[in-house]
Amino acid sequence: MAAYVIRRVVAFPPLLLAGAALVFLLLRVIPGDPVRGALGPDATAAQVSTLRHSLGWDQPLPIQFVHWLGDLARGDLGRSLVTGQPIGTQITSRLPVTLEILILAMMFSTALGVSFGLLSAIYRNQLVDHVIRVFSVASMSIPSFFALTLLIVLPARWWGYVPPLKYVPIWSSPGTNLQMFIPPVFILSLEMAAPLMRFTRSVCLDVLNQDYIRTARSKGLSERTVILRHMMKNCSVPIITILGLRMAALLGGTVILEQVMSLSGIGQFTYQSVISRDYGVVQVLTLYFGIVVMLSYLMVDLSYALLDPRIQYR
Amino acid sequence: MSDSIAISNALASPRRMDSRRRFRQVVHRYPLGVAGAVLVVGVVLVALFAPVLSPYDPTATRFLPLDHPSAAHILGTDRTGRDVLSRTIWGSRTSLTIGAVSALLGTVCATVLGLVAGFFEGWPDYLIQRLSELLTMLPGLIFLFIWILVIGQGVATIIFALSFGGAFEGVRVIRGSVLSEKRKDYVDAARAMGAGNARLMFRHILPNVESLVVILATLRLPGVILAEATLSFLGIGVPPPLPSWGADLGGVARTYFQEQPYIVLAPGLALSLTVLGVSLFGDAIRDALDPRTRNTMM
Repeated sequence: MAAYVIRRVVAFPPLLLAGAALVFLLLRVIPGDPVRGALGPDATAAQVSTLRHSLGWDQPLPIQFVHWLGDLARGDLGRSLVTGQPIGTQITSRLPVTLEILILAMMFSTALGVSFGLLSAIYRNQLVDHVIRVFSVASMSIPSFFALTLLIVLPARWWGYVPPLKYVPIWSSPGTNLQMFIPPVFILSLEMAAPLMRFTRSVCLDVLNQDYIRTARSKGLSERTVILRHMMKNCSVPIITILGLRMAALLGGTVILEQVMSLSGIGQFTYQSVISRDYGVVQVLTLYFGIVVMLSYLMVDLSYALLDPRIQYR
Repeated sequence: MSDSIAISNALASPRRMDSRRRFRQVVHRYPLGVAGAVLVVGVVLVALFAPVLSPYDPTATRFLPLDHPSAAHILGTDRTGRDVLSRTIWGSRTSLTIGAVSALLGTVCATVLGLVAGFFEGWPDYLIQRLSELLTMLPGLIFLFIWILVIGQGVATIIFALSFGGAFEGVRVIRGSVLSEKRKDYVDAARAMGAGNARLMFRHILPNVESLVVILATLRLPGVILAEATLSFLGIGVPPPLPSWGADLGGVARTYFQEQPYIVLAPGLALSLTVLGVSLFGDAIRDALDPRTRNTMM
């Protein structure tokens, strides 16, 4: 087991390095000069070359890449080309917003997806099942940006309700904070829960068709025991896998949610830096997203090994 | 597989005596799929006959801005004085064209790459696998952002980025299936008769993974339609003044909801119904083609 964990963790940095190199390279072949863009059209050639030199962008690409990695290793994420602010402090001030969205959305979508998926499988082809399935297709079809826009405009039109506009950290005023976060995150979670629900349903139906379920029933166990002890345990492994794999989609969802609800989190930061062509920031944020996604994949692999004793740790 | 034969028979032989009965069978077996097909056909017809159906030029700004619905403008006008109904009708063209082309291109690329990786194994397989790992490391939306930064905003960029992203998601599935197909006897038989690699791959193995390819394409389509709309909503997708449901919903559109709700509602509902139709129809096709998921997935 320990060897397996070490093997998985050791495989992590090379992939990350390759990813960082790819993004670095892509962002350097961009047509147009980001330095000139940042200085504006009136900048002289001397000003451009001075800034370029101070950023180290007049050096060969491999050297630039090594410098960038070195800075990252020392905890220096660089500065924004557009605002001139250090990227690190921006990220730390925005992280609580995104983390809160991620945690709440993970909680909501897992609770909704797994419980409705189980219900749908247990009451297969009955009314409950049909209602849940239609609901899930519908929630997958309504794009989250449309649903979130309706969440803003409809309560305002019907009841004149306007949610709190200024972000308050959860530790200073939990009430206001949750009032601001729960409705939009719930809407986002509906969309995220739908694929999870379908997956849970199909996994549970697969398990329910197994011989050991028939055996459990025929030896007189109550349906409750069959479902709780025999079905759920065997469903849990694939469901946990898919939870980790949903992380990438969820991160994309935070970008849309933060943009529509004007929350200043990492997602909005990413969008703004793309709009303003702030390459240094895009580079760092891409690496951040890569790390989060890869960590969640790693956690899937490890929980797999923990939960299912049949899996060999090679 | 008998279901797909039933469907293709029902569709291919309208003159047969029992065609009506077969049609009823299909409707009975896949009620939601038929509903989806009706929606899809509806949207496709609207897109095809957009010039006939839409009362005005979707980019003309010559009308009174934010006009309420009236006989002249059934859904009113938007903030720059364009007819909302015309823009919603023409939006179907943008959405369907970009969606269909990207889903198709992505699936073709995934199939070719998957065939190559699975058939040759060795270094091409290693390369394709590592590349697909690398490219699926980022959330799809962030990946699209990077492409837009690198090659600039535009319709071609969206199609390229969406096809490219889709290609690498499907590679693993095709590869796995090719790996198991190529060990079967019919491949050895064809090889013994002198078939070359290309012939083996495209004439013998491809037909046997065909249903998987169709499944991949149907899974991809709603996703790419939504992705285009999302990018356009964020203002970095279809460039203005092209009509796009996402773009029409985005920007400051929502601040005019009090005066003219249809600016938001018309493109939003059109988009949702299209995605709903495509998903339901795709589900039914998957159900019919894939014996493993029959009756277990929706």
